[in-house]
Amino acid sequence: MDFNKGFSKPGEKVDDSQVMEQVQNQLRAQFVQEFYQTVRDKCFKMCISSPGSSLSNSDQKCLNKCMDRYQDATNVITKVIINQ
Amino acid sequence: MAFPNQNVSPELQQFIARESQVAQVQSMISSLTDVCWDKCISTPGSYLSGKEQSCLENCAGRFVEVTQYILQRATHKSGAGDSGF
Repeated sequence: MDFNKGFSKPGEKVDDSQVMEQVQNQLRAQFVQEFYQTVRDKCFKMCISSPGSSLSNSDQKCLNKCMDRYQDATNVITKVIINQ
Repeated sequence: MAFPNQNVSPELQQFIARESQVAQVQSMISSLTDVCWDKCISTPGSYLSGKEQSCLENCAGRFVEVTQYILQRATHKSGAGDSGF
């Protein structure tokens, strides 16, 4: 049984494990997409106050820091919630 | 999640229940991080300062407490018959 298959073909009989794997992959992809959309929104707000005609070095430095700190913040909050 | 013309196996039911719970917790963590970031982080540094970390931890902790507090008070109020609903 090949569990690395992508989506099933129309008319093909699927079993539960394939459905579960596909659902998990989709949920994971959706979560990641939403996470980075939030990071984009927060960091744009924080780092780009007066939009210029390009992203300056300081803009990029701020964005890098912001992305990393947001990940750190997520980890801090996760620890609090998981340890409730 | 409907599976037409098919009985959902117990394994699949368990899977759905588990994934729903995971999604719920993930959603809470996302919302909390969103709100607490705004409250606690003004400018991103090269690392999270102790002050920022405490603020985030307190924020998450208080949020959970507020959720329980409101539920308790709402239940108490409706029991006393003056909830207004």
